[in-house]
Amino acid sequence: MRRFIIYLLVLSLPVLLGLVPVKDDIASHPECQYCGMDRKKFGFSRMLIVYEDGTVVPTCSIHCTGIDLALNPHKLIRSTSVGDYDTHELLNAENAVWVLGGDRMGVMSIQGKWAFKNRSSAERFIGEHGGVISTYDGVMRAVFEDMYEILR
Amino acid sequence: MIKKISSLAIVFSSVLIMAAVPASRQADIRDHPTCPICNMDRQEYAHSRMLIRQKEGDAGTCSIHCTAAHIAVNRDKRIIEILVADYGSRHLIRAKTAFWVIGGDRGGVMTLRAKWAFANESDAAAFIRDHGGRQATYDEALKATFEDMYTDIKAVRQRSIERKTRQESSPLPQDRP
Repeated sequence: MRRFIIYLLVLSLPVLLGLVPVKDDIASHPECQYCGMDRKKFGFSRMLIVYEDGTVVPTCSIHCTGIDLALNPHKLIRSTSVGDYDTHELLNAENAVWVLGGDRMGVMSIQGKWAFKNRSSAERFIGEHGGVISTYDGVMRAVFEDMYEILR
Repeated sequence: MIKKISSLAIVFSSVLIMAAVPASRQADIRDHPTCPICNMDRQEYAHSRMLIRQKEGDAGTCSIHCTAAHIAVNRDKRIIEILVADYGSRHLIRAKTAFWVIGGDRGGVMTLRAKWAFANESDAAAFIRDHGGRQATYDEALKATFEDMYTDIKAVRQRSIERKTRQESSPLPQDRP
């Protein structure tokens, strides 16, 4: 029994440390913390921030994630995950291949910002819908530039 | 006698008015002592502070960085006007009609690229002569704020990481037996 508990603990350690994204994040966090939108409906753009202090912030998109980062600049981040555009599987946002722009309307934004697990999926999207390959940092910069355009 | 009393009354009223002006000028700091975004002391950052006057109630920030964050989050709130401190006098002035300076050698507030407001164009020009930077409108300063936002957030977070690392590497001294 003791062995079994240790085995379970070892298995769940990466999740507890935020190294592996929480799988059932939509069930536990059905709505975006900022705009209240349905994260199941926007499973292809949803994000999940896990802070070092254990707080979890579910959002519908990188737009609302940007808002959270702007409101909590001092908080240390343990992990940031994003839904794969095709499969909705949660990916590490910093390692994902991002596409900026294209003809698909963005979520909470005119310009689309989508994440893909691999480059070939991102390139297939670009072939069908346009846009350019980007990084998490590049897309996040675009989030704030687009915010100004929305607010002006 | 009446002349003397009148003179005294004028002097007394002047003293009262002079005393009252700074108090009313700082009323926004008294009402909003800390920035709702970063929690910084608005008295300490009186030279860059801002006041967002909204139908739903005012919000006092430390800088245009936190003002931008506040209006991005509170898109549903109805803004009446946005005020900013004149860099030199600390008086609140209308942000839209202020003369802004972007950049220069003075460290910005919550940003690596400073943004300051001046009531007079001559003061902005004098600042640029002494410290560098370029003159801008409020709209240009706000645009620059959003352009810088992610880099500035990352810089703040990096400082938090460094502070945490320092604290962990030099723990508080233990009581000796």
